[in-house]
Amino acid sequence: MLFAIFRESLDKNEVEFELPDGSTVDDLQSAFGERFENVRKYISLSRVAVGNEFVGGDHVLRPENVVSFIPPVQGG
Amino acid sequence: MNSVILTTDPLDVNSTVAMVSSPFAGAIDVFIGTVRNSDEGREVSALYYEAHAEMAKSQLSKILQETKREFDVIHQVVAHRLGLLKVGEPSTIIAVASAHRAEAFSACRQIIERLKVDVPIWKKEHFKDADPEWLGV
Repeated sequence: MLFAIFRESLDKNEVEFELPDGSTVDDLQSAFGERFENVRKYISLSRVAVGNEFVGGDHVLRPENVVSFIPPVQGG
Repeated sequence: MNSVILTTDPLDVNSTVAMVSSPFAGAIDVFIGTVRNSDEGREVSALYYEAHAEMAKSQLSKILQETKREFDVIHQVVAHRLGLLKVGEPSTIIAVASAHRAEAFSACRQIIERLKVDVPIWKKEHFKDADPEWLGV
């Protein structure tokens, strides 16, 4: 799922990726950066969540996972 | 009672405080975050807040569970407004009731500090004389 700078720059709320079995969050970020070069610079600033939980780059993704890219948070 | 509110409606201090009042409380600490009219010398006209609502609620609930465990909290509520806010309007209200003031102060401080780190809410600044910008990127 896409929010804030990602959502607005791509004019999309979500995108789908097909990745090989065993792919990690790092792999998804690479694939995302290749497909959407205009927002690649924001990926290194962002965290990633699966469902409602933050996960690390080595987290292995499953086909049913809903992944969110979380740019630097600014609540309050 | 732990309560998390995300809403596009204006926040109301009195009704938020009423949510945590209790005959067992000797203190209620309230934090109100408001929209400031400038940022690093630039004149701000409004702020737009966006959230990953489901995750934000989940993260805020976890934060309240932590403060409940750590401090002697009776009731606590965190409310965050979303959408376009004018200068001076409250964006965040946190109210914590406890038997004694030290716990209420500590819990309230911890909630806002944790919110600023781990809750997926984003802010876009609208300026008087420049294009809007997402903060932090």
